Amino acid sequence: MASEQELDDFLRSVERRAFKRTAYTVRDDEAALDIVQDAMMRLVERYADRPAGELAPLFQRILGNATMDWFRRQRVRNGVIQSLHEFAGDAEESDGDLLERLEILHDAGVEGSDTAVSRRQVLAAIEAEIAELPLRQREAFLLRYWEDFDVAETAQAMGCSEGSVKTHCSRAVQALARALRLRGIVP
Amino acid sequence: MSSTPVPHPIDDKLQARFGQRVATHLDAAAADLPPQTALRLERARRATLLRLRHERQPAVSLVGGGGARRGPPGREPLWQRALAWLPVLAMVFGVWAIAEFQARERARMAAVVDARLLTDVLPPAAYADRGFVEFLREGGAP
Repeated sequence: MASEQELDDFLRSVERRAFKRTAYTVRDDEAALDIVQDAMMRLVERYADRPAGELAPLFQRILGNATMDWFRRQRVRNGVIQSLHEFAGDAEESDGDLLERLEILHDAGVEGSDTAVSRRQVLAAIEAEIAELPLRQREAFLLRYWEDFDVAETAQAMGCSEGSVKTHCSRAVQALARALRLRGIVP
Repeated sequence: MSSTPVPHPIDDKLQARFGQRVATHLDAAAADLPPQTALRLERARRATLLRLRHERQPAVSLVGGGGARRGPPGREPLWQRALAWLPVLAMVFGVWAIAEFQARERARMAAVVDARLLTDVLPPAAYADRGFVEFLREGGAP
C-alpha cells in the first residue's frame, strides 16, 4: 500500500503534466483543473491500497476516464454532438523522410528554436499543434514521450492494443513534425 | 505488381528522438504554469491527501467507551449491522400492532351493537319492517 508520503510525491510529480495534458484536450483551464482534482480523488478513493509503483498507469487511466466523463457531461449540458473519440481517420503519411529531414536540420542547428523564433513562441506553437492532434494520437504521444511510458504501459492506460499505440504515436509524430515544419520550427 | 510499404528501419529511433525533444519543450511549458494554476493544483493535491487520511483513519466505535477499531469502512461487525435493522423492525411491529388493535376494536363495537339488539325489548326483525322505520322517522309518537 502506498504511504501518504509516496502518494504526495507521486501526485506532485504528475499534477502539472496532468493539467497540461487535460487542458490540451478540453481547452479550458478551469475544467482541466477540476478534472485533475477529480482524478486525484478517484485514485485515492479506489486505489489507495495499491503499491506506489502501480499508481502511474492507474492515474493516467483514471484521468482519461475523467476527461471522457467531462465531455459526456458537456454534451448532455449543451446538447451539442461532439465526437468523444477522434479516432485517427487521417491518411497514411507518405513522406517517411520528413523526420529525417527534421533531424538533419536539428543536428545542423539550422532554423533552431532559439534562432528562428523566441522560445516562448516555440512553446506556444508546439502546444497549439499538440492540442490540434486527434485525441487518441495526442494521448498516445504524450503518454509515450512525455510520461515516458513504454508501449505496453501506454496501451494499458489507453485501454487499447500495443499495435494501436504504435500507430497513434507514429501518426502523431508525423502530423506534429509536418505542422511544426510548416511553422518553421524544428523542435 | 503491388508492393507493401516497408517500414523505415530508423523510424522508431527518429520518432523517439523527436518525441523526446517535444517533451522537453512541454516540460518547460509545464514548469511555467501561472502561479494561480499551480496553487490550485497544490490545493487539489492537499485535498486529496486529506481524503486519504480520512479514508485511512481508524473508525471510532459507537459503543465501548469510544475505543478505536481498525478496519476498512463498511465492514462493521454483525451486531452493528443488526442494529441498523432495528428501526425497520420497530416500524413493521408498529404497523402490525395498529392493525391488530383496529380489528379488535371493530369486533368489540360489533359485539356491543349485537348485545344491545339482543337485550332490547324490541326484536331485531322490527328494524327490517318499513312501517316501524316510518314510525321512528315521525318521532315515534303513537
